[in-house]
Amino acid sequence: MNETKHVEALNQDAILNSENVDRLTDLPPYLRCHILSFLPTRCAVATSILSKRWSYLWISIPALDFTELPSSITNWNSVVVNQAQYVRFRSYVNRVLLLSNAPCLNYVHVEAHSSFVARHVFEWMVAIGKRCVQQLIFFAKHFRIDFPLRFLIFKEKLVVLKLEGFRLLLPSSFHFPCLHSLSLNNILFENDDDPSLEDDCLTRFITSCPVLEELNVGVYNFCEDSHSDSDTDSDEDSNAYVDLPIFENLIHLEVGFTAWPIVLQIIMNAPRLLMFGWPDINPSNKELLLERIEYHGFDMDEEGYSSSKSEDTDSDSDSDSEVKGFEDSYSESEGSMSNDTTST
Amino acid sequence: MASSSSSSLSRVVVKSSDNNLFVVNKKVASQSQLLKQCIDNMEEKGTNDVILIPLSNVTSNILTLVLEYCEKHADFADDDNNNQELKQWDHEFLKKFDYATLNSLTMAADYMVTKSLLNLCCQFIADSIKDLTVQQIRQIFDIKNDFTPQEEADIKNENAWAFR
Repeated sequence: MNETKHVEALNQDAILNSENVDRLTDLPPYLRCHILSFLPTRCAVATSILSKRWSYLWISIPALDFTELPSSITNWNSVVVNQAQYVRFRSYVNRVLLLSNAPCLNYVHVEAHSSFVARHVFEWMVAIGKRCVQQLIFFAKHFRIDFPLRFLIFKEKLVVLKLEGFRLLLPSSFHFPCLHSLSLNNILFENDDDPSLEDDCLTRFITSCPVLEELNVGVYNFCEDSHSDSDTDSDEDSNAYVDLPIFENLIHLEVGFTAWPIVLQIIMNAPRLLMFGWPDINPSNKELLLERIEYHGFDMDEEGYSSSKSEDTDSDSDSDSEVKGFEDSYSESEGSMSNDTTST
Repeated sequence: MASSSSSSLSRVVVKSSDNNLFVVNKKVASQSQLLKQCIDNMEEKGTNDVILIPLSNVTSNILTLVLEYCEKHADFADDDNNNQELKQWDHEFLKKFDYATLNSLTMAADYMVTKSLLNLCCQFIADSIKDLTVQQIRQIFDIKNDFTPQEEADIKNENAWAFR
């Protein structure tokens, strides 16, 4: 009998030269496919040239990654695409989307750039929206794609959704029952069925995601045009009540917009919140909210980190930005503030 | 995983396809969902005897390697802090093998439902073919090109971007 403890004693050469000569092609298709799933999509598609047994193996891979650019000429905020390369790239993406047949895609990641044709990008989004997808990451960099949310058919399977550069047209009702992580950046919302609907679309969106754990909303615009340029104005009428459900699972919140009533309401409705970040907000815009958040019992500093809702701690403000003194004075008086401290 | 009632088994005997026996302690065996399932089933029946689990698809050479992996990972199972060390070990572990062994190990990991080892092998093979040319992949993995030159040219054409 061999003890597993004696493994090291065995001659490694004997193992390597064992009779198990087994060619990669001899692995069952599902295992070869599993190997391909660790490759970038483009490399996986390229294996179709190896032999007939490989030609359509890649179509069952449950992950699609279209982040490799059709051009190498990249600078800070734009990608210059060679027209001939773009044509090839588009036909590649179309072909992959046409043939891909995994019953459920674990992961889809697309990065489109402003030199792409918006209509093509829209078509890819529609094609992907028909599939059962668990993690969908779709970035339209530096431009905006109109996308009616009703084209996203399998909302109930989505666990991660990260969108950038879309004008999302929201149907009158929708639901993301399993969505854990939502990230929205440079999004313009609009109500699809009834453009005159007064409700704030972001509020509607997150209300439809009851099990959110992570929420990251960058710059976004309100439904109504009147709000679209109101970064500072929105502070003024910030006593407006925002109707939001309790986000029992929310632990991470990061915002890049200044519609403070919504932010504040999310924080208040997130009993398990561990992290709050607002990295891109101008410090002068933070002051007002800091005092309000602390009024509700959070330890905050200007970096936005909130460790807990504990009653007795002094937040360790290790930052040296200019609002430090402001923050300190409020964390000391926490709990003793009068009801009216928050009025503008 | 930590079910240690007085009647539970402490070790099992695993038999390879070429009839070699390996005594494996339970914590190590539990790294394989297949072995774990067998152990759980036996414990449910209240057996105190040492059980024999025959693995008809795994030779002793490969089984030795799978058990070496399981043993290492069982050691680290309760220790979250040494992930980096374990990753390093994983890499060194696989680096020693030729592709034939890697393939057999992949098959065994799949059969024994040792998911982390399966993914590790697949990732390793994928990483090693990522930057190779078609010719190199065919050569290394002994893949016979059964396309006619015309067919091959067509496929390249249809997937022009993938073969840039």
